[in-house]
This record gives sequence, structure tokens and C-alpha cells, in this order.
Amino acid sequence: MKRIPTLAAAACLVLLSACGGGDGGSDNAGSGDVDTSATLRYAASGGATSFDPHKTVSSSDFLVLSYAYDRLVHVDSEGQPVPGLAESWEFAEDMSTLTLHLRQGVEFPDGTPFDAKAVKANLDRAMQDDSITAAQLGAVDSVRVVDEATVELALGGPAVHLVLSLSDLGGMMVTPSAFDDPKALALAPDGIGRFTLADSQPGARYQFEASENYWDEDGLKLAGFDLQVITDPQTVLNGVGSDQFDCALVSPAMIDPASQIPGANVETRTVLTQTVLFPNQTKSEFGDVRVRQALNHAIDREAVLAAAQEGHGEASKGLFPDDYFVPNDAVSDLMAYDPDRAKELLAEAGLEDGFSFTAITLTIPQFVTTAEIIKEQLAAVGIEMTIKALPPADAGVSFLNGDSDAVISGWTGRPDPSMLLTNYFSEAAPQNVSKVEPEGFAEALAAANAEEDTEARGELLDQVQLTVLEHGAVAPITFNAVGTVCSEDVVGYEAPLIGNSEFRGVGITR
Amino acid sequence: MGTASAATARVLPLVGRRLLLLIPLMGIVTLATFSLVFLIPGDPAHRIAGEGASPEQIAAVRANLGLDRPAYEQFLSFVGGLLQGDLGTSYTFSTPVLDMILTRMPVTVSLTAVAMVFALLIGIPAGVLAGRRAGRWQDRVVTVSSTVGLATPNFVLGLLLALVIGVNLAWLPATGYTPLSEGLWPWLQHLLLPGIALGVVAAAEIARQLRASLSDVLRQDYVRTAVAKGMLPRTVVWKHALKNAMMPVITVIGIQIGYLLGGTAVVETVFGIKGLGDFAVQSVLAGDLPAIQGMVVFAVAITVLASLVVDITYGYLNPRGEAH
Repeated sequence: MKRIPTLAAAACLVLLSACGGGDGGSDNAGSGDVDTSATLRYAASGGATSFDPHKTVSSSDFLVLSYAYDRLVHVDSEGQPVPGLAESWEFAEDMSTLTLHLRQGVEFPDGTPFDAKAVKANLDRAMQDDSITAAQLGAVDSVRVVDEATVELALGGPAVHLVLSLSDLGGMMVTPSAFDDPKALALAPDGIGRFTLADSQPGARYQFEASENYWDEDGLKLAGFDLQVITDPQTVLNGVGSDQFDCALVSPAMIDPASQIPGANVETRTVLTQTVLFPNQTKSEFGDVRVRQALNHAIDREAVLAAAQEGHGEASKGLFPDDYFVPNDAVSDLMAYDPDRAKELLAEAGLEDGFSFTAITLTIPQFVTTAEIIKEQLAAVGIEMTIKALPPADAGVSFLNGDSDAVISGWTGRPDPSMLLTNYFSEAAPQNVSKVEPEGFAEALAAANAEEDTEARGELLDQVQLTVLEHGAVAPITFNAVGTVCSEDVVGYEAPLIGNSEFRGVGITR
Repeated sequence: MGTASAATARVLPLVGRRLLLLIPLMGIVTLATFSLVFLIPGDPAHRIAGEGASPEQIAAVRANLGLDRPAYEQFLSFVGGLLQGDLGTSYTFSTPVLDMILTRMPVTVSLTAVAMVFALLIGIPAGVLAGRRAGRWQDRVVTVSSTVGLATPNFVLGLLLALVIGVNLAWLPATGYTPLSEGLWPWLQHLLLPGIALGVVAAAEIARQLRASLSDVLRQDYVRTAVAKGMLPRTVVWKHALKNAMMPVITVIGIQIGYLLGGTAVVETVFGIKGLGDFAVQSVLAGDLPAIQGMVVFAVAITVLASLVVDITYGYLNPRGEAH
């Protein structure tokens, strides 16, 4: 089992982009015919550490890999599952299996037919212990080839979340023959996808060409996709303003300047990526649930949103944003800004005079500002927080090593809520630094993962987050907003909920 | 011909001495670079394995990288790799560090060259003008301008140039790079703004040094004699005085090459250019140890080489024969 959402990756994503997937949707601008010979030039905040979806160590690779690999399941802009390389799926009545019906007539680049055998080879590899995707597919006991176009996944228990898990790295379909040379696979993608990699400068530029005879004509309206890694936010805007890029993701602080660029449109959307204060329950005074609960009442999230994110995004009312299928009804009271209640809770815990702790945060302006505001707010209820800012690559590891009492960082949105909940709160999760699981958490999550109806499942997931927030296991702060600035010539772009766009179905009119 | 041979005879021992000195120097640099493993906070194995890695996986990564071996063994392995041109593999991009450096090197060399040409084109005429007109208004204009140039951070100038000339006026690209293989003008137009942003400090420094040096030389007896003999002032300056005045300037140019390389980290970021400077920044932010080590060794080698070239040039220009 390897890392799922890394704090470092999340930091980069919060800075300029985010993680996850989303299909294109409605047209937003432009006129005239789509030029299918056009290449979309895109400025992104990061590249890919590896093109091997199963063996990479960074979940943020999803962004770049999504252009080159299709998954069994895709997601729409609202984060809901839609057919990908699997045309349909169904659970057995007793939830013991998930059957996938595969798209037929599709081939891997080497001519190997895409069939159940290839899917089994991919999933078996994705479930190996040393795979980053093993945890995503942890509910799968085994994979069975039913016939050429059908695979059956035997499940260890109810696993409705598995469908959306298959829209992530674990559901990407690699050419099976490529498994023999993992070093080559790490450097160049080899699978079914809209684009093939024509040229790359790792960490700098990835030039993709449209795949021939791609199965989804509506999903591919470009001849190429030219992704350039630009880390400086102002440089990104300069590039769009001087017609060097057709599209770019912009951080909350740059959304307003981006909207000033003539001839460009900005779409802004609150995404699942969120900033949190995550205490280590074995350190400082955080072993007492009342102290952890006090944190949640001491933080004025609206103030953080206004100052650190220029008002773009959303103040957290729970672990999920307002327009998501999981409501925050059960937990919003637990997160109400109420400094008096925070003081009461501290007094009940015997800390009338307050206490002090150290929190790591990332050396990124948005996080540093957030941490400084929280420091002031906590000081108002008698808690002294010392901030230790570290580079993104070090912050998460340092926190997990027990070098600080808490971390203020970004949690990347995941395709299914249960992935986030499991990653941070189940007792065995490596990210759960305290190794303490909220009471009733596992039972509530199992109940949610046994419910197929989306609305009913949302209610059950609300109950799962109730166990988490009653336990004070985390203090959610704000949801991030991602702005996408595109030239007026770009059509078909729709900002996805989970974060970054795959630009599926996006075209350019010339 | 004879003069050239004499100059070569003067310079050769110098080159030999400098090359011999390179051995201990690179040894110290190699040791210092290797020590980064122990100086950079955090556990490289943990970083590579990922935050969610189990202790067993971290231990496996540590063993795989040889980080569980004694320090001297790791050092010998590091040196052995260097001698074979192996700078290791980037943790972040699963790619040999040397390949990444060599891919990006033409970009940075191009940028540095444009910056240096700009610095020479501006710095030398300005320095000559100020030196010839020492104490007059031309001198004061050059002095004030070079002071402003020295005091302006290159990221501020870069942002201004990108916004005004690149975005608002749209005269030149505000970001990116095009290789020389795609044409001289596309290559140059992408490098003009970053080249100016990078080269302004060097231009100012060259102008200042040349102004001081030339005004000194112009007070020498042989210059007065040449003028007294009726030689044109322009000929005196450009043919006789400038050669001597350039001695300290050449030293400055050598030093400036090091500064220019360092400055690429900022300028390449501001202009979205994917050269070695950008690579260095990304490597540090990602904690990519092999990439950082590779960059340090490479940068030191380039700086030492530039210093050697300056010394050789100095040796050729110095008629008295002692090069330092």
C-alpha cells in the first residue's frame, strides 16, 4: 500500500490546479467550426513523476496521465460515474461482486484487443502490494474473466465506492505487454487513451498527439495537447495574455487578475480540494477530544476565506462542499464559529489557561496566510500555535514522522468520498498519523458503501463524517476554488467539481 | 605568429597548473555535494516511497538506493558514478539527471549567451563613453544608469518587461522558449526580454569597471605620447588604451558568467523557460536529491571552466607574461 493523496501534491494542486477528473460539457464561448487540426496549449503547475499509473508514487500524476490513459469508469463534471472503457456495471444483490461490461472493438496501441483478459492483467497489477493503487482497490479480493467482454470483481464486502475508484489511477488501462519493461513505461505512456506522447521534457513539457481511431469521437476534438509546466502564477497569466497558451489553471488569488485578460474567459468553481488543520492526537493536548472539538469552534473560516483565498472557494461546513451529493447537515453545528464554546471546552479539559502546539504548514502563500490567521484566532481562545513552514515536499513527511503536533495543509479531492475518509481516518491508514479511528467510523462507512442510491448514500456519508467531527479528528477550514482561464477560441470547457479538467470534448475554433 | 607562440608558451603552464588544481577542487566539491544527503532535512527514502508508505516499504526503498550502507561506501559509489558520467536518477521524474541537465543546457546556454551579448553591447560602449568623458555629464549619466541597473532585481525588471513589452504591447513573447533549430528570429525573440532582464546587472558592472579602468589608462604616459604624436583620439582609445583597460573587465566578465548562471533560476521562472535554472528550482522544491547534487556538480564545473577561460584570455592579453 502506497501513498494516496500526498500533502505535497495537494499543495501544488491547491496552488494552481487540483486533482481528479472531469469530462467536458457545455460550450462556453467561441464561434465557428471546431478546428480538429488544432493543438491546445495548456499551462499546468506540475508534470508527471511517472507514466506508470500503478507504480507511480504520486497521485497527482493523474492529471497528466489522464490525457494518455482512459479508465474503466469516467466521471462527469459533477463527479458522478459515467461509462468509460466499461460500458456498464452492476453489483450483485448481496454486494459480493461487481460485474463490468467492457467496451468492444477497442485496441491497445500494439494491436492487442481490449478485453477481459487485459482488464484482469491490469487490475491484478494495480492491486499488487507495491502499487499506489492497491488501497483504492482494497475492496477487491480477486478478478475473474467471465467472457471476452465481461469481468467480475469478487468483493470482500460492500463496495459501492469501487465504481468511482475505477475512475482513478487504478482504473487506467495499460497495454499488458508494457508491464515487461516498467522503466520504459515510467517514461512514456502505453495504453488506451485520447493522446499518445510525441515528445517530452520531464517536468517541463509534454507534447501529446491525438490517438488514431479513438473510440470516443465526442471526447477528442483536438489534434494535439501541449502541456507546459509553469510554476509562477504571474507567468501563467502573462502566457495566456500574450497568446502563448490557450488555457491555464489559476489559483484563487489570481482569478481576479485572470478575468482582466482581454479575449479570455475564466470559469471558477469550488472544488473538493480543501485546507485542513489536522492534529496528531498523540501530541500536545490533542489526546483530549474536547481540545480537538475546541479547535473547530475557534476558527472563523469566513475570515480565512476572505484573506487567504480572496473570497474564492467556500468556508467549510463539513468535509464536503455545498453542491456535493454528501450534505453537511449532521456536522455543521460541530464546526460553527463560537469562541465562547471553544473556551468552555478547553476549561472542561482543564486548560483554562490554554496550551501551545506547533503546526507545520507549506511554504506557499495561501497556506502561510491561512496559518497566520488561524494562529490569531486560536490565540483569542488562549491557544498558542507556533507555525513551522516547510517546502511541500517535506511538510507531509515531516508531519508523519511526528516532527510537529499538527499540520495545516491541503487535502486533494478524491473521486469517491470514502477514499478520502479511509485515507485519513481508518486506523490502518498510513496518513492517519494518530492511528486512532473515530468510534463507529468503520460501521458507518460500511453502511454507506453498501448503498447504491446516490442520495441515500450521501446521507449515510454525512453520518460517517459525523463520527469524524464528533471525534474532532480534523478541523476543515476552506474549500479551494480553481479558476480556468481560456482563450475565447476554446469551446466545450466545463469546470469539474473534483478539480482539474481532462479537456475531454474540448475544441478550438479558429 | 611569433607573438602568438610566445603567448601560447606563457599560457600553457598556467592551463596545466589550473587543470591540476581542478583535481582537489572537484574532490572537495564532490564531498560537499555528497554531504547534502546528510544536511538536507528529512528522509530521502520516506520522500520517495511516499507519505502513505509503510515502514517496510520505506526500508525497501532505502536498501534499493543503497542509503542503508555506510557513508564511505555511499560516497565511493557516488564518486564512481560521477567518473562514469552517472549523476543518478531524478527521484521526481524517473529520468537520469545527466539527461535532464543536457536537455536543458542549450536553453540556459542560449539565455546566458544572449544576456552576455547584451551586457557587452551595452556595457562596453557605455564604459568607453564614461571613461573618455570622465567627470562630464556623459559620465554621470552612465554612472547613475549603471547604479540603477545594479540595484534593480532581475525578477522585477523581468516582470516589467514581460508585462509591458510582452503582454501589453505584444512586441515580443512574454513566456517560453523556441530552439535555435526552428530559426534564428523565433529563437532570439523568445530570449530578448529574459536576456535583457538577466544581462542588465552584468552590463552595469562591465560599464562601471571599464569606466574606471579606461579613465585610468587614458592618463598613462604612452597615451599622452600617442595623442601628442597626432594619433586620432578614437584610434588611441579603441586600438591602444582599450586593450589594457579590458584586463580587469575580462575578470569581471568571468565572474559575471557565474552570476548569470545563478540568475537564470529567477529569470527562467519569470519567463517560463525550462532551462537549468528552472530545473534547479524545481529540484530544490521537490527535494530531489540526485537532481540537486547533479546541478551543484555541474554548476561548479561550468564556473571553474569559465574561470579557466578568463585566465587563459588574461594570459594572452598580458604582454608581461604573468597570468594570475
